[in-house]
Amino acid sequence: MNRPPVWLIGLGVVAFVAAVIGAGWLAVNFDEKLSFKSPVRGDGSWTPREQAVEDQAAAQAEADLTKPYQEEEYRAFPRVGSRVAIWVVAQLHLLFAAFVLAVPMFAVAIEAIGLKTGDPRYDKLAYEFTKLLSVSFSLTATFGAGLTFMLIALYPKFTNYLMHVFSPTFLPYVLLFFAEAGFLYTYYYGWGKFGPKTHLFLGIMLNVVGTGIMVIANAWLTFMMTPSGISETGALISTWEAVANYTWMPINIHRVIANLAYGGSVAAAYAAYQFLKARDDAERAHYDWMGYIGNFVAIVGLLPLPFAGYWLASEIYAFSQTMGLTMMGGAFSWLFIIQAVLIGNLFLFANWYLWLGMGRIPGAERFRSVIKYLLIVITVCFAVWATPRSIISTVEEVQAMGGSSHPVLGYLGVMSAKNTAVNILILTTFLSFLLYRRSGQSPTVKWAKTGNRIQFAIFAAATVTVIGYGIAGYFVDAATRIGFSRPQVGSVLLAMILVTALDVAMMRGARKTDTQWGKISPLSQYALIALAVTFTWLMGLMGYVRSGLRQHWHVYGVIRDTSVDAFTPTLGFATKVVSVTVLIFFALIGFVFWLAGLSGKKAVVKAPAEGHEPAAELGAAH
Amino acid sequence: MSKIPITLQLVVLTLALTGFYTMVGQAVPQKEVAAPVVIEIARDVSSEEMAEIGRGIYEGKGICYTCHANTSRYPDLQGIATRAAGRIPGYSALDYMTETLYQPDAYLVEGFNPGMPVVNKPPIGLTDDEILTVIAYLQTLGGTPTVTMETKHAYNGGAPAGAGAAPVAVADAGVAEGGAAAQGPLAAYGCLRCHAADPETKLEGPGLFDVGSRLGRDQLLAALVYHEGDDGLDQVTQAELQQLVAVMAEMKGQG
Repeated sequence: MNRPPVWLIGLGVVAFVAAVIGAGWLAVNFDEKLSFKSPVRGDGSWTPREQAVEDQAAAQAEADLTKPYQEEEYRAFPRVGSRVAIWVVAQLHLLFAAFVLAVPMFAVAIEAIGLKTGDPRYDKLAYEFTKLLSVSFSLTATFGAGLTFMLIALYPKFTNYLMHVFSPTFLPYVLLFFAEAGFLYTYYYGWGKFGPKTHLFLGIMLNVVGTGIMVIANAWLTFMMTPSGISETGALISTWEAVANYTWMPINIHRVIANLAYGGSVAAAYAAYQFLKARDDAERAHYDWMGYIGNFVAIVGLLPLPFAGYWLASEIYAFSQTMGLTMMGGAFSWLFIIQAVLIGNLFLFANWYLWLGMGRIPGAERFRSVIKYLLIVITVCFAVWATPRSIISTVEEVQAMGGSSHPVLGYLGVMSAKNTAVNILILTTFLSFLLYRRSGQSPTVKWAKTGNRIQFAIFAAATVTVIGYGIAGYFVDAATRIGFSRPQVGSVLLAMILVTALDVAMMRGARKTDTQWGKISPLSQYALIALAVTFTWLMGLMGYVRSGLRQHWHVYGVIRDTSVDAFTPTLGFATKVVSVTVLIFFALIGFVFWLAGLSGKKAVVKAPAEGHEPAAELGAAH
Repeated sequence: MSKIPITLQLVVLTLALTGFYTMVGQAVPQKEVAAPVVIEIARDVSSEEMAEIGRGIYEGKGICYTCHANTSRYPDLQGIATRAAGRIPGYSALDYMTETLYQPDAYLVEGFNPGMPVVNKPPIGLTDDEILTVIAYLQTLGGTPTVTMETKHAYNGGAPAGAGAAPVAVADAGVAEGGAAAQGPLAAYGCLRCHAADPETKLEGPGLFDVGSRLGRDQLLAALVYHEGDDGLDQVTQAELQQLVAVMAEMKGQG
């Protein structure tokens, strides 16, 4: 194809520039050129309209000068409203923050194991997890800044009140944030460049300052739920009491555990994504192992989570029965049915992954027959947990049932049944994990049979205790029934501790078969992704109930919400907002995964073949 | 191996799961709860109209129904109009009702935990007038509303509790004309169906007119515990038994 001559292109450019300048000049001098249409009379005097406009402007200018200052209470966010805007940004900030706080916990633990065992694979795995941190940290900070600016802009009066109470905590927060950035980037970029112990110390400090940031932020949000340290009208009496309010410590503990479970699941999702995209067995083996570790961390966090949640709920009741009842028996009671569906799914996915994982361990066949029974127990417990106390029914159905509760299933919708179901669910998942652990090992200690019998007896005792108290709960008064949950929880926790301790002792010197990493059904990887999505959705839902419990209060019982959003939306609406937030999060975390995948790869310049341009190809560095 | 790109598969899985959870969210009952507003009540409304307004508050902004909804965890308020009188010796029904609303932890029915919110303070924050309407509604639960918007009690400038500030609304025919408010529990538990509280009336069971002079407290308690017949006494709490004993112990046949 013939190219146009250079002089023609130059002429075109000159003509274009001249046209632009000409159009600008014409626009500036438009009035002058068309003076016959101007409202200004030729003799320089004003038209009546022009005079009126001028007078109006002068009056407005004078009024502006004397306008009194009025503090805005609320400002509106376009289309979706201020509450939904804050809701989404806060939840996204929290999801990334949870991930950024969780990953260093297990990365440091894995690095420490590598340091102790001298196995370089652990070090590599810890580094792989840490790779996910850098961009996530930036996104956390970005959403945090967005949340702060939006609070100031949309809820200025309320934000001002929070500053009145918590201003002494802001400087420590900022300093800790700087420290976290310092430790995080030093930890990540300093990998292999410091001594192992120094590097490990950096990781530990990253966890310490990260937790410090979290507990300060937790004070602000828990104060809004369960305020203390202030007068009846909201005047500050003690900042420390405002910090150490009823739900502060339960939320701290609950969030550390939940972050761990959630972070483990998202990291496992990253491994699953890489596993499915892996091009050779070595990559598959590596990411299979990484996914297993991520899921292990998630389960370790998941098992005690209901207990931490129970403590939090009991503190909410202790602070205000009204709030507790709103949560469990009022506007939010059906939310816990949705929660049961989610947690039931979490247990199902986690167990399914473990069972599929047995496929990569020679010798696991002996446990395969047990799995169907475990599945039955989990399904039954799931169903009981998700059974509502009362059901939506027509008048005829209510008459046929003799009330709003089903004559038989209604018994499963009460606290005694649900507590029993969740404790058995936890015990069963723990048993699944124990079988998985046992799959590749055969004990060699002489007391192995006795040990097995003792373990069985512990499981049986815990089960009988849980079911026994569950049944007894139907025959006692409410106060006694509430108290029964303690021995139920205690027996499960004790059983898990005792059985684990016994198992560790029994497996000393055990015959082991090598796990064939990578030899697992790809379906297992979808289970990991499903776990991460479900965890994220659950975080969104529980974030909503924690905040929504305040209903029409910014600070419960003290600072009332008088904005247009001071109503409690339907659960249907709330779940839509949660879903949108989850999808935004996964779009962003997908970006993080993609970037993490690029990290560690380098451009390899191939030798140019004859007749071809040089081309760059991305290839794995490892 | 599927030919669908991995990323697309994962996007579909994420959308499907999120969609499923959203659907679960749509399947549960949908209720939007509006922020409560102060209800302006005219001074000349009748007791019946007050009761109707009070019922709305009881089920709405007062959130009373959340707990007192015939669950075993919190007291069932059916029949409270008859139980309230004499629940605390010397208290009228109005005294008892107002105290449970303004100072709910001052007296606890046995078997129940403290923790009911003070209803005139945030987060519930009912006004004194709104509380009067709630009392009117409570009086309909086993009785007839008697309070008016002008009724005074210990918490809105009236006489202290126990001073006989207000009449008792007990709608049980078994109570003798002009019977003491303290006999309310006898009516509430149906004692007066078989046992007369005045010397003139003869019923199936022994009269209770002078039972306090014939039996000591321990004997009264034993009589109640080992009482035969379809009396519903096996449903009462220890505190309620003690209360019945206290009422009967005072009945010494002196008019």
